[in-house]
Amino acid sequence: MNVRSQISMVFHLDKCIGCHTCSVACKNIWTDRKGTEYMWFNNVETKPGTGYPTQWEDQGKYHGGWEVSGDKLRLRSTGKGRIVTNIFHNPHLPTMDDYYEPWTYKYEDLFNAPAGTDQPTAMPISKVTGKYIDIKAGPNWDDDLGGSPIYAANDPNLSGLGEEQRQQLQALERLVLFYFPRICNHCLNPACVASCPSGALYKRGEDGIVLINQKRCRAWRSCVAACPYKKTYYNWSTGKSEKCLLCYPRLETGQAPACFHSCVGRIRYLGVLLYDADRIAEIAKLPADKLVEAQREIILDPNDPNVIAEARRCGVHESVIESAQKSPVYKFVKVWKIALPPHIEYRTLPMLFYVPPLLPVLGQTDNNVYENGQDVAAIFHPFDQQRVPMKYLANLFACGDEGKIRYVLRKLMAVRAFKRAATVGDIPMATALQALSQADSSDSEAEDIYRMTALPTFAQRFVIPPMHREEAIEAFKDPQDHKREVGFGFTASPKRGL
Amino acid sequence: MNRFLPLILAFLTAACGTISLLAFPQEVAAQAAPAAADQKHAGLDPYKANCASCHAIGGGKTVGPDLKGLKDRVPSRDWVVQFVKDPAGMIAKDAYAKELRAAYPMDMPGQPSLPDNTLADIIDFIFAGGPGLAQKALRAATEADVEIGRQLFTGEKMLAGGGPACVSCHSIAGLGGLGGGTLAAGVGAMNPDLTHAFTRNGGEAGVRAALSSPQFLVMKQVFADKPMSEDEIVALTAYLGERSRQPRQDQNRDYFIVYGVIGAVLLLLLLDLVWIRRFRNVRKTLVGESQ
Repeated sequence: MNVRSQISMVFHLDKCIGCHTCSVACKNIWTDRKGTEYMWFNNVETKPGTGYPTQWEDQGKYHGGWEVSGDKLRLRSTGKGRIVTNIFHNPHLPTMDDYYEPWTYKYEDLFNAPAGTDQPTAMPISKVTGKYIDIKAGPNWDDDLGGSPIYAANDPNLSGLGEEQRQQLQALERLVLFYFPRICNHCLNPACVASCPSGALYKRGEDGIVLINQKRCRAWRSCVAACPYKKTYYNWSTGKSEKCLLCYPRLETGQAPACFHSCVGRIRYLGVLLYDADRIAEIAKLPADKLVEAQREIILDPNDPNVIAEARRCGVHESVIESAQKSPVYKFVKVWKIALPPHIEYRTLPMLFYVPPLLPVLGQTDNNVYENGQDVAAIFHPFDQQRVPMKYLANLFACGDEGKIRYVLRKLMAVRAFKRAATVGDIPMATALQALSQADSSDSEAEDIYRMTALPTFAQRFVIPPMHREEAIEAFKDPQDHKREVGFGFTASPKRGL
Repeated sequence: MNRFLPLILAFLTAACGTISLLAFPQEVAAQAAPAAADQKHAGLDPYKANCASCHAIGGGKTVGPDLKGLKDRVPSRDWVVQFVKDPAGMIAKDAYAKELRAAYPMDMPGQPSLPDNTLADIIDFIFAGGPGLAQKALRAATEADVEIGRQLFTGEKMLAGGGPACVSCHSIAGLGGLGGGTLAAGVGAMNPDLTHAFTRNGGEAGVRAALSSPQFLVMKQVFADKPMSEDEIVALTAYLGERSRQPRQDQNRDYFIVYGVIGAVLLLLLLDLVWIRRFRNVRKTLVGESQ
């Protein structure tokens, strides 16, 4: 056993209101520089939709992630031989149009326009050409309703749905959407790291954050093609690629990352997971239907004395083990089993998990009365009648296995019934308890889920371990010397070339 | 036509199997003069090295005039010295020099660096009628020589002495494809295309002489210690002769560009096919904006 620690995340989609505060917080801190105009380390997608970049989930087009060939795992986008033949032109990069052409508005027109009978307007200007543009797409085009039904209809997660189901999704009465915020998943088996010919990408040993060394990056852009989530971006100005760094400078000072900190819906949870690094190579090759379970398996119980002993032996700091024991992520993923990884079939083993959303039920008119269907005492609907097909959520979070989604939704529903019975009382407690046991849960667990979902404090949502940078620095130099010698900001700004 | 008359006659004579065609008159002259002289003339070797490629003594005119009877034709010995040192200067001011120039295809290359005593030896040698200048009779060309000459020209067959194939620097009609080299143009040769070299350079005798000891700026040095064998000279001369009878066409250079453009287009099509499944765009295709 090779125990490592990883800072992991859970996003509770039922709580996301799609306000994009996270995206804006991130943008203001990290990507408001020249060359980063089009980058969104954090973006919020509206599902069903094609996302950003357009149809990033369609690896038949983008060739991201891993595939099993024979008994080996290989990158779809590149390899030791192919990297040579594609060295001057990487054929799998999204175009600017697939992200979007960044723009701003000509705000001065609002002030300088001569007096007239109509309102002055600020025309959009391309940040690339500086000329007026006709905006064709944006990082959140699905939500802006700027496109057309074409975007929603071409969501790759709709595969496996019948034609009738797809048609119904378009119908006005059934219209459904939910939000899907995305950051870098800081995967256990990152394709971006594996693809880099310069060895510029690395996964930090102490916390598993995946970073790009701006000094070693040589702009091959292999990571851009290899990341199936399209979360590394190329900065045309510095000639380096950049990605979400999970605000590690904030984490090192005990603060939550900016997108977590600013989250209005409080959907985000962050904490340490302990995992067995020895088994990554083995489980990444498993058949797709076993991946979710296998990933859960290599996440270790931080309360297990054996695991603690092994963790100590592997050099995981005592304070990190303690932090892992309090981790909300561990509870969501491993104890309650209600958080699932996005598209684990790309085999990068993402360490950001999502609690799938309970979506509005199908409406039906009965005697000219609009009914929401009936279930647990006619208050909560059966989730199989959700407007969004179960298959769709399964494609997104469970390699198409609807059973895993049902398990989660049944439990979430039972928790609601239980709290309804306890606080309102219009559902008999016996019914609620029966629902809980059917959902593989108990009243105490339901209470825990309720507290962590509805009432968590800041410190419960973000259990940030001491980062022990001094331990990492110690390997190279005296931490006290290092502390004296480093200042603020860049010692050398990122520059093209060697 | 009267230049070819002796050739035709010589072919007929050659049927009897003894004397080679061009050498026929030369041999008579050359053998007659030095018959008694066992002593080698001091001007013989420098003459061979510097003059023989363009001038014969008693062999008829080739690239330059036949030097037989030079003594009686020129105004003075000093005139010859001046002409050899600075032909262009003499042609500009001397009427006889001008008249000579008009009769021949090119300026004689000046030899200003030839030492005075060597030049004196050469002039003595010429005035003496070229004693000991055994104009070796090269054999008559046969039909097969044309093909061998072509192979030597293109480099399909190597020159025995190790010299480079003609095609490295020269082109000629009928090579097809991309034609021959153009390096000769780069060193100031008047015409890198050798299609009509045969007629330009004094027919068979002239070309054979030119190949025996080339006087051209670069060829002189390249072939200085890699001389061509007699058979090679015969074969190449035969090939150049055969080429010169082809209708005139100087299209080779233009084909190069045409072939280049076609080649580039084919290469691009090939690349397009190899990477036919490459990423083009996603969104534009999706919403039907792609052209």
